[in-house]
Amino acid sequence: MHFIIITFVSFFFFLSSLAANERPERVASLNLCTDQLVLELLDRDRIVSVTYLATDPVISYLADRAKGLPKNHGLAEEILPLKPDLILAGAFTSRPTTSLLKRLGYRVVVFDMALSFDTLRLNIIKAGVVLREEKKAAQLVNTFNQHVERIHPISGIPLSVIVLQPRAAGVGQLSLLGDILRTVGFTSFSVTDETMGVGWVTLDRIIEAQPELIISEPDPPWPSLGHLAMRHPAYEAVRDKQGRVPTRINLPANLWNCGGPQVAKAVSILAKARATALDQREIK
Amino acid sequence: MKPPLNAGQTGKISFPLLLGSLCILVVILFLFSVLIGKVMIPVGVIHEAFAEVDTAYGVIIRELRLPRAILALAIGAALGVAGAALQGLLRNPLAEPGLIGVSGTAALGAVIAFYSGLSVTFSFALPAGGMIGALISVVLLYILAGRDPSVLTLILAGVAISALAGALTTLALNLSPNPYAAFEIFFWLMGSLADRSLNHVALAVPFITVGVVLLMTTGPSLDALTLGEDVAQSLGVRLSGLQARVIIGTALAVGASVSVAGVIGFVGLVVPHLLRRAVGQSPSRLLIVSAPGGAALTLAADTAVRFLTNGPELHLGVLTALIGAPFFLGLVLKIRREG
Repeated sequence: MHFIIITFVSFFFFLSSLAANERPERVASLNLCTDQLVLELLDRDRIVSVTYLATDPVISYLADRAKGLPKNHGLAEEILPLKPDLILAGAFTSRPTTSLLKRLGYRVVVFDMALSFDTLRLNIIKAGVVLREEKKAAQLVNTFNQHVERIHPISGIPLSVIVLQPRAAGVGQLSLLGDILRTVGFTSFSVTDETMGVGWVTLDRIIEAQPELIISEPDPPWPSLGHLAMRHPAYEAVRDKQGRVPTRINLPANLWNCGGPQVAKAVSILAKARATALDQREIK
Repeated sequence: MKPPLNAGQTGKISFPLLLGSLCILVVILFLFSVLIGKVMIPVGVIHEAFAEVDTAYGVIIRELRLPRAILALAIGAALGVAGAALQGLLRNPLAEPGLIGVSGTAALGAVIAFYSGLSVTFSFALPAGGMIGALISVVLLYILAGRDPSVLTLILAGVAISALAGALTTLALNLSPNPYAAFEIFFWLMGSLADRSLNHVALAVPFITVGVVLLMTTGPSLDALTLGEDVAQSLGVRLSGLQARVIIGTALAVGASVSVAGVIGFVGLVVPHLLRRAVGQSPSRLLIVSAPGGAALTLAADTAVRFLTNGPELHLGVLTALIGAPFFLGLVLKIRREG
């Protein structure tokens, strides 16, 4: 189904782009997630600026590629002197900034947050069209699809999993994670509604849920209250229904905080984790 | 200020009865705090908290609810007593750790200790930061407002200190390498006891205890002070010693509280205000009953926040502010009427 949508949408973008312009040579990005798209699709010499977050490997998957590029903090005055011919922004980029840039005659393309695999694919195709890198984008989507389709979860076996997130209020991202978890075959969530949708799970509910698998992030190099909370001593005492210590999986945030090809890696890490957890259950 | 002599007779109920019933209330609310939450604990399983094998209930009681209840008890008592002591020293019913900027400055100290990474290597840096922050603000307030400040001076000094602390906190967060620091602290500053651990108890409660005990010792001197500084001195009260005890006691109690729980405002205002008439305007008795009073209010509020909203828990500081702000406004009106 999504192929049809994507073909349709990309055709639409293609038409609109024919009318608009030629290949952008000076691209600026105002959002961490559009940074990833730009870094993925363009050669360095066509990028005039990415956000200051792009070089932080904890949250930016392509941090290596971002090194040495001019940084911006989402301010219009940082962008203007760079004379970009295309500016990519996120839906959460400050409105005054994007509207100012538009008023000044710059071409600004706003990207929605990828909240599902479908928007993830759409964003890559859309970026391909506006950056005139349609072929590269199509390839990325294909590779992503192949990765995801290669996962054949042993379905029907429920396995209770809890996803811990620092600052659980970054909720929009949870839905992309929901797609990831569904693809991998996690069918049973102990604290169903909260874990799958937009929501918060209190620690007492987690302990009561007795999960078999706990997914969390590795600690960042900087001090973080959110990560400190995920190291609460109570987690040491969490047991599943058979009284075993739940398996803990580290899922780096940069693999799924933005919708991009890197999400395929998150999928395979979790698929492996689920298979191992099921194996261990059979052994015992 | 009204004369404090023969204070015992002006109270409507006897002092031991008041103290006793407040203590019983605290015990009941403590039990509620342990048993009630998103997960309800049956009374029959309390012993599981200390069993050899961990059960889900046991872990929840021991690792989550107990630390939370202990902290609510200690912090509530600290805020109540600190409020009563500051009000006694400054002879002003509006003196409260949150309003006069002590909590905000303590939060600044804790934020610096945490986001500089200091508390990662040395965990006592967190309460130390909070206490140093609180100490600086009380000293600053004393210099700014003087010993017997008018309501206006006191509040203005508090506003100035709070604003400065807020600005410096934002500066500290901007300098932090953590891109989410401002977001994290935005919520932390609202004050909460959710998911605190026994580590937090060990970090904060010893300092809080020392601070509260120190504040309690000021009772007789504060009583004498209600007669005026000259009379108090002739009765043998050393003013500088009294000031030092109130300042250091407040810094220890409030600083350590804020460093683990964030800013929980208005407890120090509401509790002494509610209890003042019942103890007959005697600062020493007010100090004593403000401990169980503050503990009871904080325990009750911290249990209530677990149910007041669907989804994310309401922050404790938000609830105490919602309760406390009307009291504050009422006090302001009353003071204006009395002129």
